[in-house]
Amino acid sequence: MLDTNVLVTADGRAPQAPLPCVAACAEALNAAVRDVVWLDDGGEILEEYQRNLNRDYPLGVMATFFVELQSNLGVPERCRMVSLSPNDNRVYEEFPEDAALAAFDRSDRKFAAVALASNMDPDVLNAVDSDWWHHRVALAANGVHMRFVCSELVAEWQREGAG
Amino acid sequence: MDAFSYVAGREIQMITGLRIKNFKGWKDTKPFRLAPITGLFGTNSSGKTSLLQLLLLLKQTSESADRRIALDFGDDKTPVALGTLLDVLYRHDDTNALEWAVEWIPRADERATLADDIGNSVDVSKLELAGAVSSAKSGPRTDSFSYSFGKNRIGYRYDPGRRRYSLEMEPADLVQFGRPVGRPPLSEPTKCYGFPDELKSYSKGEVLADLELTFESLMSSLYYLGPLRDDPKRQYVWGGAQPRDVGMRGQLAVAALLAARARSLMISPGPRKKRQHLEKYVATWLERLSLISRFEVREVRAGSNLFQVHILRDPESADVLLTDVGFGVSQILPVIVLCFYVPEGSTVLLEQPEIHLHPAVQAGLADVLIDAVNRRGIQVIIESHSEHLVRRLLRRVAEDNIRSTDCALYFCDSMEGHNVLTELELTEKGAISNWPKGFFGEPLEEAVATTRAVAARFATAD
Repeated sequence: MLDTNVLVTADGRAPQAPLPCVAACAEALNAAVRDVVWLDDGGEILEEYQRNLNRDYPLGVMATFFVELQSNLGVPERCRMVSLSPNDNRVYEEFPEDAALAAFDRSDRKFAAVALASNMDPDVLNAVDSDWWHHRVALAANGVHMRFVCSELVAEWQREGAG
Repeated sequence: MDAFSYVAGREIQMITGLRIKNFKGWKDTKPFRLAPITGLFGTNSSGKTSLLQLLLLLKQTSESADRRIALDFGDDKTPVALGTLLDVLYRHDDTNALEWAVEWIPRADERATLADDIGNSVDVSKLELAGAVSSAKSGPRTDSFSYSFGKNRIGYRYDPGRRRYSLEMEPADLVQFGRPVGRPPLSEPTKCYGFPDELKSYSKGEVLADLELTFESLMSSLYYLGPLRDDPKRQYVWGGAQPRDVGMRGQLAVAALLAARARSLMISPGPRKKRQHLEKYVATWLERLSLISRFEVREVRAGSNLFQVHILRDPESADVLLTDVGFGVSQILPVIVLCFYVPEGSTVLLEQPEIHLHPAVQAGLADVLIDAVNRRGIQVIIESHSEHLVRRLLRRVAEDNIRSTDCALYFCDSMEGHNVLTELELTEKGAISNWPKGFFGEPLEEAVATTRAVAARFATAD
């Protein structure tokens, strides 16, 4: 389960991400494509990936990852789809009803929703988005497993939190 | 050999199945289907070309003037020069026979003739010819061949114990003969697929001769363009000849255009659109591929028989000759001309049609092939390394420009000294569900390795 920011960071297009973080994102995508990538069958995640592709990086990690992902769309071992149902308040039925998550970014909710709907507990990977960090306790309490790819940024968020 | 069981949804002549045993790197391909667009992909030396060569071997045998040879292995004038039987046998093992089976849909008029010969209750919608040639003291010998159609089969087989050929039929009375067959002993077959003349003359009706003719007409509808093409020329000589194709190296592409002009060969660009001369249609394709903006073949001087190919790169650029633009135009020209020049229902074999082309044009080449298939009922068999071509094909399947079942894509691989053929499972959404590792390069791994290197080299310097 890959938040779009991991893909964009892997291209070196996230200004706050140091080089080891960029490399870690690239490795994470390489591993994911060889394992399983989770998507919603309504195409929202794929559409967001596509929207964030940058034509200036045709041979970048994101573009090549996207092409490989596209090749795997018909391969159930590599690419799994789950259905999401709309919900007026929570965006998706599958997103937890929890006051502690009321401020969680609405466009990122699809990743958590797919992870929960999958019944397989895939990790949601995040690189540069601090929102996941701020909501990590509530998300985990609702069964969302997260992996923060960039330890440097986590350290920064921890410092900010402590400060 | 096992019967093929592929169903083709079309009536026009087409090869629908193939099986090859003990040929070059192939121990046994197992029966595999051929579709209007058949693509052979894979690493170097994985046996892609040999699959085409087997068809070309049969073609040049059927066109050989020598009726007594089992197979014509070719020389510098034939599409392939394969040396000897021993050269092409799998692992050069002459205890095995080279075997093949070709299944095809005959032309409608041939189906009608065969039905007349054998009786209308017999299913002649598809024919299969299976054959075997092995090494004998006197040279390559036809061990057997047989034609199958519906539940019927008629063949000819050599018995090494009795040193005689005999006729085999299912059912036993499939063909009636005016006199007992086999006394005196039957003579040798014609090439590797024809009954001897005496059998043809004893038989009531023409079925034996017609089966052979049907196979020969299939072989004569096979056209081949090789991977290496002639350099463009400043001028071309054409004295009015009508070439059969564009030549193995594409050297006759301009002659074919002129021949088509002389006999007003027209292509219909679509419903309610005006029919176009082949030359104009080819020019339109070159333009759509963004290669050029104008293309014209002009005689140097009236009556000189010398012609030049004039090109405008862009609407504003100067008129130049084919030799004075990049290689791409002259390399793709024979491919486009061949696909639209040969008679409808032909099978075109293209080896690396993408050669020398820019990636965008390689993708566009898939559209040229789809157009030839859809518009003219051409069957195309390509051997290619082009990822761009495949990706465009997949896209067109998803867009429903061509049905997934009208494509048959194969990955050839070499394993433990022999070649292996895997059909790529193409869905109607344009996805391949068994994308093989190493099908094409590994662009993601390249990009990841680059990123890894950048981090290792420059991270501390940040």
